[in-house]
Amino acid sequence: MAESTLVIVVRRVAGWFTPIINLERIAYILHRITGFYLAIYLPLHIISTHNSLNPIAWEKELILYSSLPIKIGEIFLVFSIFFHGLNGLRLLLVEYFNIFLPKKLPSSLYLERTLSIHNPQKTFLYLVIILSILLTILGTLYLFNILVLR
Amino acid sequence: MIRRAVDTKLVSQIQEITPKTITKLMRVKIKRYDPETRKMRLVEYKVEVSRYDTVLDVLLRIIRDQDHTLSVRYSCRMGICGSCAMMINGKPRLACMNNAISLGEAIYIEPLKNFPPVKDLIVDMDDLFKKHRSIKPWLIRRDEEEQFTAKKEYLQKPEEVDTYRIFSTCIKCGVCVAACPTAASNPNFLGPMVLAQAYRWSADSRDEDAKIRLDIVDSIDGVFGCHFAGACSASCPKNADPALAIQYLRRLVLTYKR
Amino acid sequence: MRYSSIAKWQYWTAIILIVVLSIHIIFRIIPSSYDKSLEYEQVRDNYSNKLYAATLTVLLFVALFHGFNGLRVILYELSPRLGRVITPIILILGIIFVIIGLLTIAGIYVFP
Repeated sequence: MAESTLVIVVRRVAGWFTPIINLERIAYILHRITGFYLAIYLPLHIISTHNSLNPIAWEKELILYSSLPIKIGEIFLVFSIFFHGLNGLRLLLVEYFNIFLPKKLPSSLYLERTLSIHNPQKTFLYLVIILSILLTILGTLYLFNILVLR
Repeated sequence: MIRRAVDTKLVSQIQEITPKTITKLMRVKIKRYDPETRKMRLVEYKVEVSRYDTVLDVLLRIIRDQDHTLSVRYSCRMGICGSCAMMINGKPRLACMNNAISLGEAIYIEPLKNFPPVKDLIVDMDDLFKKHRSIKPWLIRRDEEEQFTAKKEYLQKPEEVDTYRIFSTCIKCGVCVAACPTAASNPNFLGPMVLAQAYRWSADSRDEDAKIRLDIVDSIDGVFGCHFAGACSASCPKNADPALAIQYLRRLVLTYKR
Repeated sequence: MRYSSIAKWQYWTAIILIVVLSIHIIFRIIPSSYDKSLEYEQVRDNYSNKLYAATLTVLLFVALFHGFNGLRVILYELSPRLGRVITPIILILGIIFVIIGLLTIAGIYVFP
């Protein structure tokens, strides 16, 4: 009996997580999850900002923004923007411009260790993760009015 | 001059080299595919494993002494043919290149992931080889007549060989495909092995028409299906670094003047 | 059409997005606090700045293209059948949201 599309999709998403886990794979999974979240958030944001043209509708929006589930969603949104942006920059530099990849390959027949998933690309990945977490913390402090810039 | 009765230093050196005869009773759990019921079943065996046995040695001992119906693909038993790729303790590896005792108390073996099973630990590799053939893994020369009636070899400098040498060490075992998250979710994805070989042939200075190959890999099922998870390079038993080849291939596809 | 042409657009929109989104976020956090930046007058003031409005227009097109194209690729990978169906739907949704966004920037309210 043919499997339903939902079962196939769930099984394929589960396939992102197994069999081995390395840091670049975690970045790959997070990039997809944050990208999906941003792609869903964007149309909602466009609709919500359209309500800023009507003061009564905008007041209702502000009441919605102050609710806890939306605040938690906004924290994940902050993480999504920073992680997806910084990781996207890393992928752009590595995939399009081949920066952080060796320009000249060694003459030996067998590598002692792989070149692509080690330094210098790995260092940039660590930087992306650390910066994302730091900026998310700053963003969360701003969201809860703890960090005020002026 | 003092002559010692026994050269203790030499004896200890020999004792280090000689394999110890200590064996360990290990539990080997194998997930076998039954083509008649089309289901997987878990079978457990207890095997005496000695210090330098590989997982392949253990499997062959099971077949010889306990269960001759167990089906396993193997050939060279030294990590060059790529036949014995399987999931060992959750990771895709070559059975002949992994020491059994170092895996812990029990060994859990399954057929290679992302490939349809045929029987027991044997999987169907036809689709992989079909995809490999589709990217034309041979030298494409403008003058085909000359290629088949060449009067001399095609000259190549060592620096020119360096650009693809490590990618040519690929043994086509399929371990990278088992590790790849995109191959797990998209059955039409060419896979890291095929894309790395597409780069190997396109980067070869003796190849004259890479455009044909680049057009074939230029799709979401080709090089743009890869998003650099790096699992292929992390699990490759020959360190052939397919992820590196794919990133070079992507730049080639994006910047090649057609 | 080969996917490499769309892929180039995906990479270039990523670069433009990093720049314009940074400007958008900076404009949001400048007023002083999160709550103050959401006040009706503050939001209307932002839109009256012509240069900022132009940046928002670029952001609208670039973000919608990058986001919806990425979504389309992932959905195609998870189910090619779903992926083929999703392309026209995403195109139509993209056009609708571009129109709503442009109307917001122009100051024309259309919701009932």
